Amino acid sequence: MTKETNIVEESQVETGSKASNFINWFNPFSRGVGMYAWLFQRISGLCLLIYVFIHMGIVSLMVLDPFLGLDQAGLLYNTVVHAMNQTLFETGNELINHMISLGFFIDAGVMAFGIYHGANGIRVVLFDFGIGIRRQKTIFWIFLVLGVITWLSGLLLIAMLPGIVTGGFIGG
Amino acid sequence: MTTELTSTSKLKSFMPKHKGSSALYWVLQRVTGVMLFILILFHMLVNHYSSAHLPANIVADYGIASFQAVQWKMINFPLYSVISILFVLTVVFHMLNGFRTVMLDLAPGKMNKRVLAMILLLIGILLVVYVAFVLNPTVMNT
Repeated sequence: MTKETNIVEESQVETGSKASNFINWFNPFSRGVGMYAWLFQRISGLCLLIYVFIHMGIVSLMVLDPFLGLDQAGLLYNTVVHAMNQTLFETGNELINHMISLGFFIDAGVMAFGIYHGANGIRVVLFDFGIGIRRQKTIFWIFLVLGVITWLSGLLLIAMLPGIVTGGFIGG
Repeated sequence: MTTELTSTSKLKSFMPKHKGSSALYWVLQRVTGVMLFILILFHMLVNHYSSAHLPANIVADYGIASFQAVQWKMINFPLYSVISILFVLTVVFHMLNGFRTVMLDLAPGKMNKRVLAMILLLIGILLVVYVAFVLNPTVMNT
């Protein structure tokens, strides 16, 4: 039998408290790249958690029509998705029109967080297998650049779509 | 005989040695994470971009990701529903276990840990049952 000890409490007691330590806390360069990688992994994970609930809610509008007494199946879902992908204000360029809509902003955010979370997750799994442990920071920057390239090409791909719902909605 | 032994010992190295250490959840978080990498790619391509095999009138009249397109895929590709259910199970486990990991960093007591796990398990079961109802082809065939 080993005695259970609270490591967190003990370490906090042993830490010396100095004013310079307190000021250093606000210095963003006092922490390494890995600390920020971990922090954004947490933040993006929690944001994606909220997104998944919203996504499931909107997608499950698909089956609500018979309960609401709407005559055409999928009318509610099609209407909501079409409204979200409407441009906020009209410009001359069709590609830019697609880019200024509520749906595009949400998609851009979800893609950014999702790609970061996925890329950093793969990086963590690589370290668990012992691959690249001595090159953690280099691998972080490589994955970040690859992620940004994926994100930008994904944004272009979405903007080039003619609209994921073009008919079958209320007033269409 | 020797190959069998090595394969079982390899599997054993992934299993936690101490009960209640949550090490199995750590392994499953990695496994589901890698699975999600593939499943999200599938989900995005099939749901939002691919119009392969779709009848031309559905794409023209309603759009690639409209209710009608999803319904058509669900009726004509049984594998689509199966992969969707697998995707939902993986996502729900990964996100709730990830939330639990974040909460465990607050160093909760033994009792709080157990209550948290029970609440998350309940939320997970409710979510999976709800989504299984939504993805049910008999509901989609209205």
